[in-house]
Amino acid sequence: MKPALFDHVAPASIADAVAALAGHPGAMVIAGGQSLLPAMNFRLATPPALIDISRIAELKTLTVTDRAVVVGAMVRHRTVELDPAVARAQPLLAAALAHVAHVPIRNRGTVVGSLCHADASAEMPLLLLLTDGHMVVAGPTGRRTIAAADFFRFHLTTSRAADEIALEAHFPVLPAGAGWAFEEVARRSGDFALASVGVIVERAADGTARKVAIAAGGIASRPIRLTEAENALLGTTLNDETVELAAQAAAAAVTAPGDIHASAPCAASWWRRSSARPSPPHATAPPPPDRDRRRPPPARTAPPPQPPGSDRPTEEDGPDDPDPKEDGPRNIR
Amino acid sequence: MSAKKPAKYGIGAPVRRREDPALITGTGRYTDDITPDGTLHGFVLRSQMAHADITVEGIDEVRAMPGVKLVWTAADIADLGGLPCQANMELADGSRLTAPPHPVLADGRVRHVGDPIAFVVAETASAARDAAEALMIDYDPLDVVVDTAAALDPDAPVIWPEKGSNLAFEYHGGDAAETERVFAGAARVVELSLVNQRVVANYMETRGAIGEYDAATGRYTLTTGTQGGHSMRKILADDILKVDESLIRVVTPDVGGGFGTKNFVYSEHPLVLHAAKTLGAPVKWTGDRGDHFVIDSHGRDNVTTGRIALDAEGRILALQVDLVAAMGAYLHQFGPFIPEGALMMATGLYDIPVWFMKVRGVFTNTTPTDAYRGAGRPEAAYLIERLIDLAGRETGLGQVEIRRRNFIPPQKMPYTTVTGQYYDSGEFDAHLALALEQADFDGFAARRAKSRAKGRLRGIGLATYVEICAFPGSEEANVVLNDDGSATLYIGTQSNGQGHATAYGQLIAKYLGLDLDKVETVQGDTDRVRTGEGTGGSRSIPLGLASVDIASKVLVEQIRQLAAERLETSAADLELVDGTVRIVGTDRSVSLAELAASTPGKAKLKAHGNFQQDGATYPNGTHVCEVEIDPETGATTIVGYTVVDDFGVTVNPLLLEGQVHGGIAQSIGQALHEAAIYDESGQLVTASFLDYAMPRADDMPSIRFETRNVPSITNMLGIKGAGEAGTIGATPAVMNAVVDALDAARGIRHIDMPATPSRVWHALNAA
Amino acid sequence: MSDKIKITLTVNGTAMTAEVEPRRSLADMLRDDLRLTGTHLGCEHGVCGACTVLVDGKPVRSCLMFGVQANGASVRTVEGLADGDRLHPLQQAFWENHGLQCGFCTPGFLMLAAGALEENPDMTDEEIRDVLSSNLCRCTGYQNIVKAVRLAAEVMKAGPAPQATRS
Repeated sequence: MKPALFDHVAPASIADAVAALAGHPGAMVIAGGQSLLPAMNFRLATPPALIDISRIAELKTLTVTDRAVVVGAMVRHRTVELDPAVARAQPLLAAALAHVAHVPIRNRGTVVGSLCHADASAEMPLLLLLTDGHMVVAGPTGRRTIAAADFFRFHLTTSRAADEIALEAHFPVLPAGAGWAFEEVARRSGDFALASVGVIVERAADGTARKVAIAAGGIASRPIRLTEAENALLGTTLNDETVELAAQAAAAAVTAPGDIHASAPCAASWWRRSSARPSPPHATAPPPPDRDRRRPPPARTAPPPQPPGSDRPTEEDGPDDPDPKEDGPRNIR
Repeated sequence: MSAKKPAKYGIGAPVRRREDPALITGTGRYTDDITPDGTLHGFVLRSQMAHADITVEGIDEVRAMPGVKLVWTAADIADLGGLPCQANMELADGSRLTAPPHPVLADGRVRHVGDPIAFVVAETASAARDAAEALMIDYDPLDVVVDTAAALDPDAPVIWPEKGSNLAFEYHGGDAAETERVFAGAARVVELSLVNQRVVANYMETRGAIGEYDAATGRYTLTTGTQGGHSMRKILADDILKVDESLIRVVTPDVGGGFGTKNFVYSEHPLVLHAAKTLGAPVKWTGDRGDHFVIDSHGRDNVTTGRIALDAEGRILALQVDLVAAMGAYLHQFGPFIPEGALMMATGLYDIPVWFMKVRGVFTNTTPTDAYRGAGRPEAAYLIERLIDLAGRETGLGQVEIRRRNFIPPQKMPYTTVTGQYYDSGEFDAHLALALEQADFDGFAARRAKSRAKGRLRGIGLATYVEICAFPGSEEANVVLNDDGSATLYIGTQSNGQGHATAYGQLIAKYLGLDLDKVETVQGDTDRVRTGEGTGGSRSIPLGLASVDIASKVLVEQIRQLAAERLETSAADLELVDGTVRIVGTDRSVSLAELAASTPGKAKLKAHGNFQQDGATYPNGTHVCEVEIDPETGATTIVGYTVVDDFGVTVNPLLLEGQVHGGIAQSIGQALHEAAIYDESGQLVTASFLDYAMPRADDMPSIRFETRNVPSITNMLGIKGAGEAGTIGATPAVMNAVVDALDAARGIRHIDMPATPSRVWHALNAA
Repeated sequence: MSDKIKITLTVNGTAMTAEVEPRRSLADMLRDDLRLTGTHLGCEHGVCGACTVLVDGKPVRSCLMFGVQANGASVRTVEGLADGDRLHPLQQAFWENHGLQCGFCTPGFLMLAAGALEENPDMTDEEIRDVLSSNLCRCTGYQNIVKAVRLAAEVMKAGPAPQATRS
């Protein structure tokens, strides 16, 4: 398994990278390369050139502000996973990252790379959608911001243009007092999710849910928000009954793809279980300071990169329409 | 006195391995680590279709590409013979098995995905691949059959028209009419149809091969991972290259696992040799994981129906088996032999008086099957152990009592089974009892109740297995005392990672009074070792060590005699310690180095041993597996695993336990995770580690292992062999545990392997 | 360009240079250009972990990294794990606890465990098993690998004590 020939370009600035991308038709951007290299080794991907952004210093920054965790395009999964400030600001990141492949893959792979790869089962796209985050990309005409809801088109496809480079991802911080959960079912620990779900719930002073976000992965051609399930919880006091109603609503909205690891109804059941679990959500007290060395939950890990054509859902077998706008009504019914 | 400290060396000593210092420091030498000066690199272009007529175009253009040295298709190597099938067994109709041709490169037609089409040699491996991919293959597709159970359907596409159907062969065992008669009068009949699915060996070191040719002597050298180079040399010489055997040398460096599948000659072996001769340069081919998945022989792939007739007390009166075994698109080197193992061992360790078994081998458009760890015995054990488990459920006797009622009792030993096997020793109820105690079988009900309280389904399963090892034969050993006082063993078995050099060395070290690092084992070179039967069927220790024992004793006697003369004493007063021969109780001694240097005429002190074993050996034991199933996801977790084995004699407990652990892991892999899956068009959809689920560290339980040995009376040292045992006992134990959980919860009495979350979930939701 | 690119890096503490095609993986560069064949290739798609090495102290798959991406990096391989003739506690523990059979996956497991223990010397048993699930072994059933890493972790925590040499 040896890749085909390609040109290697390693610009030192964002401007040079954008120019290099423009100057090499068909070129691909490489950051950590943990999904791209297997595809190239299988010769499923044969880009004529790689634009290697690892020399661009400003893409290596991980910033936590009052509003968001801002992850530069060269920041590795593992860096984000182990960062104590990130854990305080947005604990869902570490929780979800623990499910991303295995430690050696997370040592090399990048969060932004995972977002741009946009595997329908991957954890980072789900999280960006769940948190209402956004991407910042740069192209020949300058920079632009793309909301998560507009970024993921379908499996392995985003709205980033071919001449654009993703610079950073913004994950809004967890609102004060909010509860959260992340659950996943995979064939073996560390495998790609067969079903995954993230939840954020904000409560009003009277204890009722005033804002609910539920996102699911592995069940459609891209991560989706489950609006009907969110609505089922809004304004309620989050007891067993309302959570069960929300889980039912979530399950009803899912059309899981079948594959060699699971038939559709079976996958739907797994998904339902995942979504039924997150009650009660984690409390949001900041993690104790001694927590910062390791990720919070016992980690599970998975085979990493997924070349096209294997067992992951593809745009062909993904059940829903690639246009995100038509998803809302579908879920709400 | 406290407990006796184990001896440092000799049989039974827990000696850490002599092989390890190199392997843990990165200085091991596997095939791909070797690159002679001037090496060129080969790439095999393989079929992407399962069944098609092909033409290859663009050959001249590719030959002209930079760095390309050679492009071959079938027409260019017409003088080479094909890959032979060595199973010329007698069939049910009295004829001898004949195999269809299996060319080194597909000749006009491809019959499975991965079938080799072209061989390209270039200056680098990448350039060879670039060039091969520039060839244009024109496929004219033919209909495809991949389903073992459907291969004999009247409308199935026929892969070898000259055979008339996809029936490759049929052979029988036992008495059909008598079996029918017993079944007709039986109080109860228990029947089970099951699939023993296709799996892939997946040793971590993929195959590679380096061919060299010396024009001056006309000799070929093949460097490749093997399970014994001598048999490979003979096939290459007689069947393929058609040269005298003495002109071929096969060198086996470190081998990164074999599990049966590295026994065989594959196309790349003659290709690199023939190319090296043609080009006058070493030619190297390194297979990758993708090659492994589609070209190295697969394991298992049986569809079987078994029936047992029982009397009113639950005693088995007769066994009837109908086994269909997928052979793949060609008959592989030992392929048709493999179901024979299932036939020989069909009755397990039960006293079954009557049987009939029908074995049909069928062609499908799939990679050929052949020996994979256990090679027929796991299939036998899986069938009989699932059947007896079902009988325990249907009779109400339960999984323990049904076995006890049917065991061959110790007083009947030695015992010849109705299938013709001579079980020389064994106490089956005793290892069952010990295993049940170790696994706290009696406490299971309480544990199940606890699991139930958590919403989990708990099950416990048994397998009481017997297998056949160390087939009749011999493995000669030669031990030489070197001038520096060290010793060298020459032997033709072949370690694939089991640690033979340690097992042999610890015995020699004890006899000669040497440290283990003064005992070198030479294996894996047909020029340096005269004969060899290789590793397989757990033969290396029972046969090889017996010969080592004989040779060592002879050498010790020679040394004593020589030393007695030197020290002017009686040989009986001498002991070999610390590299010297010493008069017991004195400080008068002579070193082994001095003795070696002083032999008359400088002849080497050396000795030969060749233990001939007339029968096979029969390791046996009990596995107890406990599982917990999450009914919401169908996920199975192994929560307890206990094994008690009868290996006859334990040579090195560290190595032995390692064999058991590894065998169980492969077996748990088959039971819960692994499956080679073809789609209808014959594409192998599980052709990488992304889709083929190998067990990982967190899929494995902690195994509790003990021996309860009853020495073999067939083997000179009492050893029975242990290489396959874990693989044989564990699949039925795990599946019986899964079924126990499902039966208790929903009355489900069978589920096929692998018991993936999806499959278990479906079983639970269909019930 | 797809022409060879000259890179410099540190391998096992020694500065080295190599001229490699951009498509050359770090694993192939180590094995074929620098002749460090202790790093093995088992799948070349990032799952088996036989090729695991430490890059700037972190275990990574050297089959999922191009050599050119290691320009300026510090790489450690199994050949650099022992201190001269003194085995690393992990090597010693693998040897004493029969943590290997064919040995092909062993360098990857050693480097994986070395990196993991450097990051967290206090891993629980569950964490050890979890991190070791990153790599595949077909011979051992993992039990002795897990045991060896656990025992090596204890030795490493106890601090530098006289270690047996490899002889």
